[in-house]
Amino acid sequence: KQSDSFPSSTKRPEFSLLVEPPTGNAEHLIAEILLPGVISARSLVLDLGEDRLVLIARPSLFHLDIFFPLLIDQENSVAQFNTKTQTLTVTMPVVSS
Amino acid sequence: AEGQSEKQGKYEAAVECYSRGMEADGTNALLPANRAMAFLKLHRFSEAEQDCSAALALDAAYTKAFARRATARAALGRIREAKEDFEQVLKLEPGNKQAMSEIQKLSAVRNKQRRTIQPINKPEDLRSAKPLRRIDIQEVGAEISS
Ligand SMILES: [Ca+2]
Repeated sequence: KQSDSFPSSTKRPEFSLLVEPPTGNAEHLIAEILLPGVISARSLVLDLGEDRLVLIARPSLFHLDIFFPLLIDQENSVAQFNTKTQTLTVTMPVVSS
Repeated sequence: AEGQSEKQGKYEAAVECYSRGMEADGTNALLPANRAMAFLKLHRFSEAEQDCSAALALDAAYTKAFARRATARAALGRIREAKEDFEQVLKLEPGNKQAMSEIQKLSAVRNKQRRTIQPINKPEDLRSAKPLRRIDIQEVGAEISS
């Protein structure tokens, strides 16, 4: 398993996956990931697949590797890290659900 | 006291007046922002939103235009965008009470509206074959120096 290569201090961060709009066709998938202790986006590495999100917070603070039940548009996805709330928000257009 | 239709007539007259003003001077942000207010009173929320956007295109730091557009968007059920506009109001006018209380109300509405999904376990042969793509992360939240 991939996560075996990380030190045991590496935690899976708390996160939620929101679908927008709240009703009807899914247009956006929004991942909100809480990263307490992370002070800069520079310590984050984010990779998106069509159905996957992989996040590493260095130095071996957090690791997240999840699959979505829908497909997203990697090219048009954006990510923001809020240093005040220490939250990473990834907004991904939904291609098909 | 003024009757409902009398008031409505007043706001309709205001719309006409501001429309003429906008034809004469397309660079004055006050005119679309004021027409937006009249549209709000007439419950014509899409037009109010458009006018606020026009005002903001002319003056990007126009607090009232953000607040009015937020009101229009909230009435149109576009809660996330309404909240973002009130957040802009707060950026421009830290401590603005109306914006703070509206943000609180809209957050409560949004929390009820949240539609969440759970990640899934995907067997390797069902996973997308597209390679991973590195995503740039924009940093926000630094104190605004004004
Ligand atoms: Ca008015």
